[in-house]
Amino acid sequence: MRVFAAIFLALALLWVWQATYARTCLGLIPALGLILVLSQSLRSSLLRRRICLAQCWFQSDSLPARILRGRWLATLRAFWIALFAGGFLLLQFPLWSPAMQLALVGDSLLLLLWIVFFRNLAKHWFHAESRTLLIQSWAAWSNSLMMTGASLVLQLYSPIPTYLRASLRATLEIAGQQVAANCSMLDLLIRIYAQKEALFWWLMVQGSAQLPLPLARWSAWLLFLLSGTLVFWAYSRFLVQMIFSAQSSDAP
Amino acid sequence: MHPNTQKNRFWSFFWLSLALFFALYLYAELRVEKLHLDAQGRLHLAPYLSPRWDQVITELLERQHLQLDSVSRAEIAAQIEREIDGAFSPVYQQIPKLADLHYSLIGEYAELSAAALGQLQDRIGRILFQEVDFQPRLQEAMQRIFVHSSAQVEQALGQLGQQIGARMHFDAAEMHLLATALQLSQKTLEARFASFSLELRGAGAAGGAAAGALVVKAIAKELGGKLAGKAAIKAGAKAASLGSGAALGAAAGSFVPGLGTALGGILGAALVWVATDKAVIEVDEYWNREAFEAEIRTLVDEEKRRIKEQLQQAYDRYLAQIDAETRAMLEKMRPLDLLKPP
Repeated sequence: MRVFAAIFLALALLWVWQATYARTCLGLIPALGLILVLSQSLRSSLLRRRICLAQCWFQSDSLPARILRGRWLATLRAFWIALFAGGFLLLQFPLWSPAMQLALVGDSLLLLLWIVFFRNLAKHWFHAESRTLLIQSWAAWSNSLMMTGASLVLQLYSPIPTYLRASLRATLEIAGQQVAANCSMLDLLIRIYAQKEALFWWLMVQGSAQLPLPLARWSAWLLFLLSGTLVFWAYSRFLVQMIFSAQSSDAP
Repeated sequence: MHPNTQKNRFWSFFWLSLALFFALYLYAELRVEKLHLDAQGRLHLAPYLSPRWDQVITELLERQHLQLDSVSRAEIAAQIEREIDGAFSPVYQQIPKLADLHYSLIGEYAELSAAALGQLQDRIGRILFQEVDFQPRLQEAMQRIFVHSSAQVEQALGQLGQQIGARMHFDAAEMHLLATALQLSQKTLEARFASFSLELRGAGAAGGAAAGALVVKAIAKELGGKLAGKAAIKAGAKAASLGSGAALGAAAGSFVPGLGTALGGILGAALVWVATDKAVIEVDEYWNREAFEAEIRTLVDEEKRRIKEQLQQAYDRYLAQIDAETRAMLEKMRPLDLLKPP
């Protein structure tokens, strides 16, 4: 029951973000919540890995080893990764269609199956202290790769945006004007993100006509895949952390 | 930690988070304003609504929903027809009266004296228009048309406001602000289009003092011609009969030789003069009265058509002006422009 409540809470956070980000800077509260949950998830993993990182490569009394062993570096790294990946997820989420968002609700249940699957798989292989971290990581990656594949298919069959023009500058200008927020910081971020999306579309649709090499088209698809994977990974990682927090001894 | 405590902590966290999300959502939905009026009375749209606003306004402008639709325009045109016809209706009833006077001996002499004194137009104007209070009637008709058209404009702008409000998901308070910004009320319309409203109410060239003047002038010209024509006919008739009238009068007066003969001659000549006039007028009436009335009716018709056309043109300009003003105001409301410092 708590697992489903945690999934509901995670989705509610994203929907509240979607409903508030454009209207008020207070929309940053759910955004900050997501980033903190995500950084908490990454921090656990990075804290575990820092021991090996320090001991496998450096002498134990060296400065790099001492720095790498310290908890603050892992915390800082976790926060920055969470900020970047979580930011992508937050900026992408409102741009997804309701159908895509509904698909994500279904995907959250699939994620549970991934967790159960890896939990059974890892039961006899790994140390108990590493097991949870590995299950979290594998489940998140598996789910994000699967969803990236699905989004690739969706992208291929989705209609071309109306803002697309022959000129890249015009395309970026129009795409930037199609989103807005009252909060100036968020306004800037969502405009940049919308322009990034427009750039991908422009490269995919107009790139081969405008540029001599098919490089543009391929690079667009590559960027799209990387960006999509990052977003779905952040989504999966966030949900996984919420699920494990609900199951674990301490609430998040 | 006891499992029950963990469980309680989770649920506390869950419900608290949900309450926070709900409060945040309510705040964003209810407290964050979409529209506000500044000190200068200009409407500002929240920046986050700018993409939606652009989309809605572009769509509306493309579909030309701002313009009064053809039904409203047709209604205004029909109202102009009806009201102006109504104002002219008593004028047509005066035409037989003018003809009666024209084809009477007294009327004939009155017309001749008025023509000699340069007052023929005043006389015709008085009979055709002043006696039936044409000017006040016309002004009232124009006022009614203006009120009707203002209501049409108000309704059209109200519908536009409703369309925008529905698409922008404005609540009642925001709709009120939008309505204020659209300046839908008749008072503001009148204030903003003062010169138009004067013209449309009949104070300008289309109506007022100018109305009827042309028809009066044309009828006076027509009558002048007729009087001259009749005078020529009568001159011939009188030349033929005046001598014998005077001779008869002189013979009748010869009982008193000298003075009696002279007075009898004058009286006889005068009687023949009047009798000749009467006969010529009656013959003229018998042959020409119908054509005379039809001619005046045609002149009145033309005057009526002229006023209708001028009025319709004035209303076309008026509606185009409202349309342009409304479009400009909606364009200016785009936040991308409003965000710039004034």
